[in-house]
Amino acid sequence: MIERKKQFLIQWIASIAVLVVLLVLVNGVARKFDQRLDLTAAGIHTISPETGKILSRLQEPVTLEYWVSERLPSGLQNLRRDTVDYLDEFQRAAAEAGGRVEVKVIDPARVIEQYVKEQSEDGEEKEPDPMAAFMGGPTSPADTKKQELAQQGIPELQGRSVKEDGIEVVPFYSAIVLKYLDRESEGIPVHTTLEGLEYELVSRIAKLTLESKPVLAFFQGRPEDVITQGPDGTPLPAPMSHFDPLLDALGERFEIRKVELTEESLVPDDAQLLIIAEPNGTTPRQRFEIENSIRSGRPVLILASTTSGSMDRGFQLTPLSPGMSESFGPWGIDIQPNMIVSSQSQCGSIETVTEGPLGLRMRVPQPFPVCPGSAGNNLDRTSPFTRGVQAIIFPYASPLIVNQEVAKAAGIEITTLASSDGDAWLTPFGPSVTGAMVTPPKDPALQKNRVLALVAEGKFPATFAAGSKVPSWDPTLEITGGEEDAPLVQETESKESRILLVASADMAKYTSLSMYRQNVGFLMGSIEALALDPDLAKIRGKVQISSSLRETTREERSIATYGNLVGVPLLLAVIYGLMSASRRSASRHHEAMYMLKVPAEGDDEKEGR
Amino acid sequence: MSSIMVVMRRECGAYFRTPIAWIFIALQMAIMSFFFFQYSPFFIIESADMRVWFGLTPFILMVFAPAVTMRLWSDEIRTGSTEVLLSLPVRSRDLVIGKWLAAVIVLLGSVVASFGIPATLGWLASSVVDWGPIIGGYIGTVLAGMMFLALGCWVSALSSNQVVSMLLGVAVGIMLVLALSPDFASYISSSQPTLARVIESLGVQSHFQAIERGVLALSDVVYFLSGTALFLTLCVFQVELKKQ
Repeated sequence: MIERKKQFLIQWIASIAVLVVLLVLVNGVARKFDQRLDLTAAGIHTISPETGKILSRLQEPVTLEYWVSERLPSGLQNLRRDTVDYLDEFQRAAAEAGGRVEVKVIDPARVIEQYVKEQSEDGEEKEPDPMAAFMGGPTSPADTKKQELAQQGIPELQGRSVKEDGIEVVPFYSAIVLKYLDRESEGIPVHTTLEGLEYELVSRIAKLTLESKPVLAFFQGRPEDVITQGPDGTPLPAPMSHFDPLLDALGERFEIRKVELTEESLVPDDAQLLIIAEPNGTTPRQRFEIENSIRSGRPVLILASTTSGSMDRGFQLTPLSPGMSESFGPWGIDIQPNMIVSSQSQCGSIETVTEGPLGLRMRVPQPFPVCPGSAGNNLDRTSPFTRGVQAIIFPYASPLIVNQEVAKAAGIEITTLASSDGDAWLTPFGPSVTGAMVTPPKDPALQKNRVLALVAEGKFPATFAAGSKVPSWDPTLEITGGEEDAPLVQETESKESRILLVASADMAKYTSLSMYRQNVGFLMGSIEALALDPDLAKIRGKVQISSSLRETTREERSIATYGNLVGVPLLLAVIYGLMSASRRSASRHHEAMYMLKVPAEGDDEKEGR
Repeated sequence: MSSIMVVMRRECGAYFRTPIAWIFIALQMAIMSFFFFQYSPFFIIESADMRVWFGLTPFILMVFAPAVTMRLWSDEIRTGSTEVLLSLPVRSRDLVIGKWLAAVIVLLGSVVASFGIPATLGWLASSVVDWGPIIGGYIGTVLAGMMFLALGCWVSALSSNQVVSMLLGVAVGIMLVLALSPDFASYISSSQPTLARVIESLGVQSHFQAIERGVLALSDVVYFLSGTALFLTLCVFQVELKKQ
């Protein structure tokens, strides 16, 4: 008996050992040949094939350092794990594509701790300097290291953690630093979401590995009045142009070349993108050059409207004439010579002078009327141009009219990127605030969504007939039929290109960008999406559906909470109660039936009697 | 197969005809809903997802699965009905799988009872909810639940005392969830990188978290199925040992 049991035990232990070995092997194989199914709607955990393509061009390994604290604030608790997983996946995708990416996860607290330890071992520990603290400088070795890290693009951040008795401020780190060869490192100093991380990483890797910056051509259609001399004749420094802050910001990423679209200053051949800001009175030759640029496959960003505004000396409006309609018309686009008024304008208020009681003139604040915005469902947030943008403000915007039939016939696909809210109406130009800008029209049908930004894609047909004369650089000669020896327009095949048309010339000006910060993100993002590698644009277009809760009432929150917390358990209790009652009733019924069927004791005897 | 179904039906009856399963499911729902709506900043973060819910799941399963399964064998051993059961012309394997399947049905009941949460998200969300990670979370719950129930079955067969069985199950669960957690692995990763990798690959959390993020990886599925197979085999071994 004991022998049998012993044999049984040996057999079983051996079987279990074999099973364990088998399971370890199976797990190892599954890990090695892992297959993943990304269940998220946008596939955010999957590295795009476009990324693989870009990473395959890496000659040397790129190092990704993820500097992250052990303790993160509420709402970011999954960030560390998700990012580490994502970076591992990124590394795997790079390896599959033939590129080399190394991932390092570093806890800044340990680095700081190590630094402090080394300092104390070296005997360099100093007494806290109260003066340094007063001047905002480092007061301890830990502070010195923190400042050093911040200079490397790894700043200490602050978040909030919800505690039982309130909210606690939590200092933390979450930054990604990319290193390639001996080049200056690139970084994401504040990394708090996986959304768009693929693009952020790949675009930085692309930048790190580029030999030179991509070129942007910038054409300002309405030159500014520049005073070069003071009243006493002394030369004055060149004033800042309206668009200089935007160009300065773009300068970090691109090489900006200003062009005037004259015979001497044409669009450079190596320009990746042409930006046309505030076109006004565009000459036929300039239009010809712009059209050629588009048809050569170079994407174009056009910031055009029929009005420009200024608040410098009160509320003033200036009419503009973009002069692009002869090209846009055959492509199915028109810029109407009106302004869009929105009662839901989020641009603050202006003061207008109105007649008050006793004929007194009074300054009355009015909502800034000609400043439509686009947000929510009016903004296509799935587009690479608007990724991560919550709202865009279009000051002094003109409505864009799209004729899809004409566009389709021309082989152009037009997509609306942003439109105004549904109660926007149009008003003709006025030099200042008019009644039509403040009072909505009586006919409600005149209030509707107006297109504020669009993307046109395709092979744009030429609007200058082949064989006709190329317009002269001197527009006055065009009135008399142009130059006699002007070259003829050659028939050329158009390449695939894109136009991003924004119906506000002022939105990219410094005054607007400083007031409406959301426009900076839109402009920078869309310029990147237009100018960079088409593969990068595709990656940029990958967005996660991050649904948030709508505004809820106290009652709705109570229903949600107590419906699940109390309602479901109560429902289960009721179901169980009903089932038990039904069983009891069935059992009583059976019992009753049994009592009826089974004869009572002694009945047989009575019957047999 | 039919004998597995017979055993399963019998155990299901024992769960659902008595208040056991109902109390477990109701209690689990109440606790998780409390943490989800009251304790976590659900209405502060305003994110229409179930990450907090699924974040709690391994911890809840670690306690509730042994509680559900503690009576499966311990009770039989205590009352002496094991001898009758083992004398029946049913293989030990079928008995173990049948009992385990009944416990899985209780788990599925708790999963169905939690459908009020995604319904609430659908109701309160400002736009379309990304259902992928939620579906992933439920797949992870079922897979991890199956493993914890198998573990519970095994420890239940180890002792005739239900409380001892449950405590033993919770202890092993704590080891799988907490001791082998990614946080612990991360803590020792700088000094013991190999051990950290082993710990992370053995722990439940790293596999569960990957699924509930919305990434269904073959390695994670294989991990949970392997764990289930191992614990069920150990349970069959324990039952066979009693036969000897």
